[in-house]
Amino acid sequence: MDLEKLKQQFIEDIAKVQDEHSLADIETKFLGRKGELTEILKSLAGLTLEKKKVMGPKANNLRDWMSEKIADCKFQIADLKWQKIAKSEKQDINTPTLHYPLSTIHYPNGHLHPLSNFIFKIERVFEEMGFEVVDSYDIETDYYNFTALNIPPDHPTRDTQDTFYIKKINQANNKSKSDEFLLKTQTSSMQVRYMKNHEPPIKIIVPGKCFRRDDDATHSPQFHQFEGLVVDKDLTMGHLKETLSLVMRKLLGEETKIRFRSSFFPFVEPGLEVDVTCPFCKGQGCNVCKKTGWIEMLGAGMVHPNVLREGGIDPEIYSGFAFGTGIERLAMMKHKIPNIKLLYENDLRFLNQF
Amino acid sequence: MKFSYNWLKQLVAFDKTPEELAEDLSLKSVEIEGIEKFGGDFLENVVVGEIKEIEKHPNADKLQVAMVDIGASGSALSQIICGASNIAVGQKVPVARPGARLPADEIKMATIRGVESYGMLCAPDELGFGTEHAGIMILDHSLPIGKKLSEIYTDWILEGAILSNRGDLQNHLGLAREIAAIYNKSLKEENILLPEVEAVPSTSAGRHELSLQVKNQAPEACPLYLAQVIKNVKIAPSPMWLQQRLLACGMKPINNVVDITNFVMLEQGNPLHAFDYSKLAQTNAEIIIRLSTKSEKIKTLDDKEHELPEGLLVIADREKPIAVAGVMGGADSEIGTDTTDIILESANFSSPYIRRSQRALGLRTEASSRFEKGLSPYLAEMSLTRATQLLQEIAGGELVGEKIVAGDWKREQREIAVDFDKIKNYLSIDITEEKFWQILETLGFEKVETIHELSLRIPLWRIDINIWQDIAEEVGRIYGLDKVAEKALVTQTTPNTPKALYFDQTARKSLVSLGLTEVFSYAILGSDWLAKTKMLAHKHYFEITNPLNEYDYVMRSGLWAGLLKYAVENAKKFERFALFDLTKVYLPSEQDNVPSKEEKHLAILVYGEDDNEGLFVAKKYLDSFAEKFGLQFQYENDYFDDKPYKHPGRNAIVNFSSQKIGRLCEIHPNVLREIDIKKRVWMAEINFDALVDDAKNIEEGFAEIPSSVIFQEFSRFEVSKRDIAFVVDASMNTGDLADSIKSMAREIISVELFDEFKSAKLGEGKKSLAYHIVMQSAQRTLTDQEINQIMKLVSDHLVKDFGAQIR
Repeated sequence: MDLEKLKQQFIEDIAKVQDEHSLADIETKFLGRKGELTEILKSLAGLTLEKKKVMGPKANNLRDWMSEKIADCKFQIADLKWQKIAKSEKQDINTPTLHYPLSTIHYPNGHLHPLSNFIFKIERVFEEMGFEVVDSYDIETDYYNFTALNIPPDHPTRDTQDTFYIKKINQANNKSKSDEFLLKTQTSSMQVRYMKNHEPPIKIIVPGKCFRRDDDATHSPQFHQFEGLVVDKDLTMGHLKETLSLVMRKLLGEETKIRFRSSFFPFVEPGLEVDVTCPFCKGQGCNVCKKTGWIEMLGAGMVHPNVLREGGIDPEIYSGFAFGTGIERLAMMKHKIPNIKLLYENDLRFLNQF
Repeated sequence: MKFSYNWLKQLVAFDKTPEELAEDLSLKSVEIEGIEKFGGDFLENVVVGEIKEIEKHPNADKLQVAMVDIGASGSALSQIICGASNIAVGQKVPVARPGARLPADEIKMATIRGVESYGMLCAPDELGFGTEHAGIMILDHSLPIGKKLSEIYTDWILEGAILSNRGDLQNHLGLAREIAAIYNKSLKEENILLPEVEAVPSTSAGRHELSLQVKNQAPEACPLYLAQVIKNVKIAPSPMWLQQRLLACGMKPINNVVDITNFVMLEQGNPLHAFDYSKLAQTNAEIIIRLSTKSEKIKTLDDKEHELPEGLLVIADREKPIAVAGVMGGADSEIGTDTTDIILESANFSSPYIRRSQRALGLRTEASSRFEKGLSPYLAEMSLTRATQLLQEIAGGELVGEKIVAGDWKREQREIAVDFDKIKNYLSIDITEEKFWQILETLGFEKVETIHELSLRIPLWRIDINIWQDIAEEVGRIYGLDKVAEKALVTQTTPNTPKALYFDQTARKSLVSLGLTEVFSYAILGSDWLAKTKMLAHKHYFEITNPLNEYDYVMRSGLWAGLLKYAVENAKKFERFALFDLTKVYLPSEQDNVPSKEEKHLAILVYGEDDNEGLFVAKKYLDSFAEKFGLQFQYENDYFDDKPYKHPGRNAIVNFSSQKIGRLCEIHPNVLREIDIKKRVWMAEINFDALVDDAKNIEEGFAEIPSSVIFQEFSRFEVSKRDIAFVVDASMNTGDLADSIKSMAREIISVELFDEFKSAKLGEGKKSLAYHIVMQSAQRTLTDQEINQIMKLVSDHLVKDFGAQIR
């Protein structure tokens, strides 16, 4: 039997298909147990090795091709069928057919995402300490995320915070430059915005989403941070230490201690990394803290005078401190969640545990 | 960067273990991320031996038989056969004893051409000290016979993460200075004695033989360029001590000239480069510092050809680029075994240009990673002096003329006025004035007193010190940040937390209490997913210009596509669920000072309801939500909306206060088939912000729901579902039955009632029940056979313990 002819026949037949039944007939005719192509495939066994080498691949390819066409066709038929069904299923939103109250059989309890709940906790702790909670923008300007924070263009810090840049589309009058907008890489982006619109004393906490071009076992391209900013007369490192001590005790447990390590962030001076005693081993040393008893927790420092100036505040009169950290890691420590991805997969087997 | 503990000890006398040093540095200076022992344990079995006699091997011309004293008991000598010709009686040499496991070989007693050999005399490369194999390593004669080499050569390598403002610490001298300040010691300057000579500009040298002109055409990118012509160098392997320093710091020894440039970089901090003079375009040789022009080509030392984009900083001769400045030299002017005359370059290149080159070429080298943090040009001066000294001493080079200086940089020491009391208060650290000045002076600051004030002169290598707060940091970190005394924060404001945030919190809690489960979704959507769900045409306003992959570039302007994604996997495991997402979407801005209008939306998704009721279940959720906040929504059928992802007959607009605030509809069955969801899905999305002003019953004040949940790992193996239907006494509690079924096997993860009825046919006092049973193993995918066994267990249990009739 000529494979070309068979293929032609198949093309003609499938063009005439109306519904599932006629398609099933075609499938039987060509690919069924006694289908025409099946018979050819069976007959290959009797050919010489040389002929087999030529015919075998051709016949098999044709079988694969036909199977694919039939699957496509099935999908199209189903598509048409459901188009029809959908059109016939009109419901009037204002004439409900619901005959039971929601509370009786459905969903005995929903679940709050553990990140939400941890954010509430952070907000509660700071509110109790007299902080104002402030929202922030996710799409920010380069200026507020970097330049205003003493990170001018070409500053190496920009390389370490792999930034997503944003362009505006769908607008006739698209004036935005490609590097003007970005997804904020840090909640510190709110510092200068807030300072520009408020007189000291300032005492705020900014929880919010951040984005960085990082995607692996410990990094999610989207994550959350909170940023604290206090500006007043005569603020010192001592005030920063007391505040963070108190916050970490409230967030991680009364026995928590903190320590400062020298570090560098362009928008604070001095700049600090703040470690907390490992909550898993209580500072004794374990695998989580790599036997050190400490876990790196926050970045902090005294607000750089350039940043105060950028916010319209005179650094000769006022000083300030700022601190910030990732929220995921805190929530993961609290609930012993091993992988950041679990927080964004939204698997109900995970969410239902909270 | 890698720091050698031994090297640091050579530069400053301190008495701490590598671990103690690492801890102190991490708190006060450079975070040490790891400590590694350098010099393998195999050196345990290699000892210092003294050659006492040498005879020719009786049966082999090229071999010798040495009698070596290795301090064995009874002063017995070891007979060792050796092929190298550089040995002589009286030398001290490393002897690998039988049993020593060297990197390449295990040493055994052997008989070579009829003569026994008890060990091996070692060349440097055989001990992991560089590449030299020309002869046996000759040790310092003062070393005691029999001493283990592990005791002489062990080093510890500290891996330090240098902060981005501390380019001056990317070398051993810089770190030694910090260590000196931390432990209040002084630098052992005699070990790196350098004359303090200020550079005097001159742009040419060697008027007659080996002349050179330097033209700095990019002084902004290259504030200082120093070059020294050196003739008659003898290319050879470096001395072992130098090779060892390089190896300890993770660099490969190449030849004495190249090694010296690398050694000086590791010691003094400025990357250096050496060009082969003879390979430059000749007659009046020139070095030109300039920006590349379009399509210039260079083959770098790693043998890669690069076509340079316009505007990269290059070092060129009169014809073409011979190095990508501060990143990598060119192969054409590389130092080779036949090199005799060199141009030594020590220059300062500015960080933005280096970073531009790194990005353009995808190259990051020891040199460029130093320049990228920013270095003081002063380091280039010191490094040139040091390298010139070593090239003369080690490589036998002779200077040709003076060094050439090209660039705008001038040595200028800045001064900052310092108020001790102000800094002490700022740090909240109780420190004496004496200690304060002492710390700063050990770090290289000089106290300058005038009648009116005290100032500090900033060390030339510190470009990061600009304001008095920087000084405060220096004192604070060295003295110890643990000494910061806590002070109660008395700052008080009138917090003005926006109502919208309280509404947000209360809403989430209310939605959960209605039975919805909250998801956290991504703000970035994939165009592939949007195409699949037929939502791609849905308006979006912002795109990411540099996405992680070719698809994930869409900033969401609605929540549906994101939320629908989470239904797919969950629908494979759960019969029915309801989800919500309360978060921002990104719309075109209406204000000048913000890039986008960020509007908070609430989306809900309902899955697994009866085909004809789901729409109203979803509506009921919206209404119940509204009711909690004293609000009311109106709904309006929209049969003319032909968006392909919406069911054409089950689609409504949601209105509030006569404003359209959202939409409620069934997802088109064909979209569900496309994304492989078996049952129907209903979704709603409303503008949450539009409700804030009118919403009542909002909790003021934040509070979390107390939770002590510890996450339990769940199985990711395939889930299997079976149904069972049976007849039991009508009095039976369906919940108890479900619990009892669940307890039959660990693999049963959920039991859900889905049908219950009574009828005359079943008989008086009987009812029929049907349950979905979901099974999953934590270890593997369950086989049909295993599933059947579990189901048999369940039915037997129901029959035996509850008198059930299986249907």
